[in-house]
Amino acid sequence: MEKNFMDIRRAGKRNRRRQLRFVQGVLFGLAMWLGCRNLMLVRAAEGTVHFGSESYVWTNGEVCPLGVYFEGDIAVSSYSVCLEYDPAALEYLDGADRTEGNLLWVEGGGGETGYKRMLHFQPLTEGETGVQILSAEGIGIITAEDGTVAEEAFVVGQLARAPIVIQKKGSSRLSELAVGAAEGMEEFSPDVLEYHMQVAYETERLEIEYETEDEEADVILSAEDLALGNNVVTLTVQGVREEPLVYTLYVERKEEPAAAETDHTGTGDGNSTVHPAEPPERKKEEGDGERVKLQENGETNAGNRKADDLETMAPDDAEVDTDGDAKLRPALLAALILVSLMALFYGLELIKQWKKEKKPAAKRKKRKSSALKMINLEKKVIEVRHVTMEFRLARDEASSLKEYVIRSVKRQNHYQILRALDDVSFEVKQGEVVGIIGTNGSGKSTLLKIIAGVLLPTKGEVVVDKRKVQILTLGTGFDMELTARENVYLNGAIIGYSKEYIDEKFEEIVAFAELEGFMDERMKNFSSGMVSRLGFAIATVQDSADILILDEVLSVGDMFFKEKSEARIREMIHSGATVLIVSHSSSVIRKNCDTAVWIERGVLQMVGKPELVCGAYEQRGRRNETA
Amino acid sequence: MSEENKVRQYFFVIRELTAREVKRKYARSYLGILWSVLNPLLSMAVMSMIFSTVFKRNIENFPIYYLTGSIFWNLFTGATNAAMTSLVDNKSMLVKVKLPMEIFPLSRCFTAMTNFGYSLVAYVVMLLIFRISFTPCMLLVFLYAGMLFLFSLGVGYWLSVIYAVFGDIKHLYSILLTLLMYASALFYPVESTSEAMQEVIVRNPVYNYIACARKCVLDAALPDANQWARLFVWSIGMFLAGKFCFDKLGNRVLQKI
Repeated sequence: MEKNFMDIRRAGKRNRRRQLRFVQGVLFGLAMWLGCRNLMLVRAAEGTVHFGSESYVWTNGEVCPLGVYFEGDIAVSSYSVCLEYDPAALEYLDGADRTEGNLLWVEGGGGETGYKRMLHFQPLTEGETGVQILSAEGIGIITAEDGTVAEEAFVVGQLARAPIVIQKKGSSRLSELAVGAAEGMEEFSPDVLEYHMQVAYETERLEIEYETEDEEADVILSAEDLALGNNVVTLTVQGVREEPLVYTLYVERKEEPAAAETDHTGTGDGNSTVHPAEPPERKKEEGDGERVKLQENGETNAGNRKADDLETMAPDDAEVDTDGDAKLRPALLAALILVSLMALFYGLELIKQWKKEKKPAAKRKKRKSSALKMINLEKKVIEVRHVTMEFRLARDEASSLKEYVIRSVKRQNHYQILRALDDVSFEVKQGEVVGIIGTNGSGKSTLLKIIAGVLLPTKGEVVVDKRKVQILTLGTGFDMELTARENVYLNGAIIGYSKEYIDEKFEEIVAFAELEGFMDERMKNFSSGMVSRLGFAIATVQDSADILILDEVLSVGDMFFKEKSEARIREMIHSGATVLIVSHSSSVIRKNCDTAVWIERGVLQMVGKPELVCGAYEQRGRRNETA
Repeated sequence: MSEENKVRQYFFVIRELTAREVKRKYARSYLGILWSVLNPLLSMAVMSMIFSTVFKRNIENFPIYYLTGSIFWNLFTGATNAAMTSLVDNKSMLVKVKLPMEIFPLSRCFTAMTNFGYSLVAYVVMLLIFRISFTPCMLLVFLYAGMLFLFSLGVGYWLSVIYAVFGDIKHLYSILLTLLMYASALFYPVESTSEAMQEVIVRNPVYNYIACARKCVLDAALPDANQWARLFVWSIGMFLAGKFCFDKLGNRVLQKI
């Protein structure tokens, strides 16, 4: 940790040094440049005159500013700039000191090194024009060290021209608006924003024709469908660079001529005289109210208009397919039918499975109720019949998709068959303690997984009641980020304990594992011994474990824990459990087991009494060493 | 264990696994679970600010429009991304567990559902702020969420099995999700895209859920026949396909792991 910290500090220092050097370099360069400039600038004073921008884009009719800058490299005591403009295109408003025809003068001075003057124009017509600087003169002052003052005339470089493009002023007004088959509508005028009209009952859609003053303006129509009764239809005209204008049409669609009540399948319920207007978009009711209010205030110009009035249209997400209610597409209908069939099929499968599971349960219940649980020494609890397990291992496994594809094409994807278990068969009777011994990689763990039902063997089968199997491996099933308490519940749940059971047995588990006071610690802080103790405690707390499989579990822990765990195992054996111990240590097997099974490289070598089997195992081991 | 107990046990395990995932997500943060509510609120505020200046003209109630899409989208991506790694992450437990392997992707999808539930709180707050009136139609949102859950579960089953065999899928999937996101009209209106793009968007299953949800919240309308059909076809179809793939390849996965 310390080392890292020092590295960071050193790195920091290095960085700072680098930064400092960079700044020094920049300052030095700057100093050199300034010095040279000053050396070169012996006599002639330089002045520049330019505009605020390279070019301008103005809108016809609006007041537009134009900035003129006069700058000198020494103090400017006086300057005079003459500008020329086109009076036909631009109307000059103010900003200059003197005007004459199409010429403007800006003059001034006073000792600053730069002056900025703002001129204002109003464009009159669209098109391109410009403002040209005709002349620029100035006199500068240099104050020498001894106090003498010298005057220098400025030499002005380029006399710039500012090109100006004048755009058309956009407009949001309609030049024409006509509604077909409408009665009682006021005559259209671009400035009038509200119109009232009535349409006949049969008119379901509004026929609107309109034209905008500005060709590039956008018009959004709120809706065209008319409901019975009062409708509010809006046209929002958005001119280019203009505030939008909203024309509102109050359209009353007359009720059905027949007096009798009829069912309307359309929108609206048509019979009451005073019924609320049904605008096409539900949300616009509030918005309409606002808009109407604004118009009543006589503000037709968009100056005060709020931004949300722009949002008139909610997107119709399904509009792409059809207009209005979509008919079911044939492809979708076919897919729907297919999926329903699949679901039906799947449902039937599930029912079949469920029925299958219910049947043996019924049988078992009968047996249990008939007699006390007797230990039948002849009953076979685990039967391993000719189990072969093959794994497909890719030789030089492709590390990425690209390699895989290339190799498939080149037919380089060779597979190696790894035979983890080769025709293994043995039996375990109830109440037996069987030890499985073998060197590393002999296939013991694979066999356990198959017995536990986690893996399916390639050939052969294992007959065992999987519900009774309890497999215990080192420290698995724990999530290190959680506390021990949470892990007990999680692990217990996975093993198959119910919440109430865990609540009951919690204290017992903690006591067995000797972890009082540690239960609220995160498990990542536990030692490996503590982890395995906890795992063991959780797995062995139940009295009814019928088949317990221990995968290398008894070799962990200190001497006292080993004694305790072995004692617990013996307890469980006495209560009728069958235990399968896997280990590569022959002493463990010798001490605890009735029978031993030796598997080497997937092949069953020997089954028999522990002393015999372990003896043979050790002998083979010694032979391998000396050979 | 009797049938009833088995089912109870099944749910107990799922609850435990889900609780673990939820605790894990906010293990180191101070605010913890509160972030499930804050996160959607904050992201919605930021996105609204950014996009309402661009698309102000076209969409009414843009924040709600965006938020609806966002919470559904997050449900989908959260569920599928988490489910993808569920088998590999829990490989140590795979050996011990007696219940079928499905519980791992299932619990991760449930976690995403839980987060969705929390973000619904933020959503309701937003609805109140924007004065969207509550209609009974809005309850359909739960139906849509449920169907999206089924859909995500199906995709999750697929992904979890493929990932166990082929790790590359993780990167491929994230690219696919980016593509899908742009084809889901989360923050722009469908009409503003070209015709061809509109066709693609409408066919996108995730977009369908979002569109139906928006319809029922903003317009208080039921989806049309095509949309209903798409809802069911995609949910049930994907779920069955995923489950099938899961069952078939499950054993191979256990070997690989």
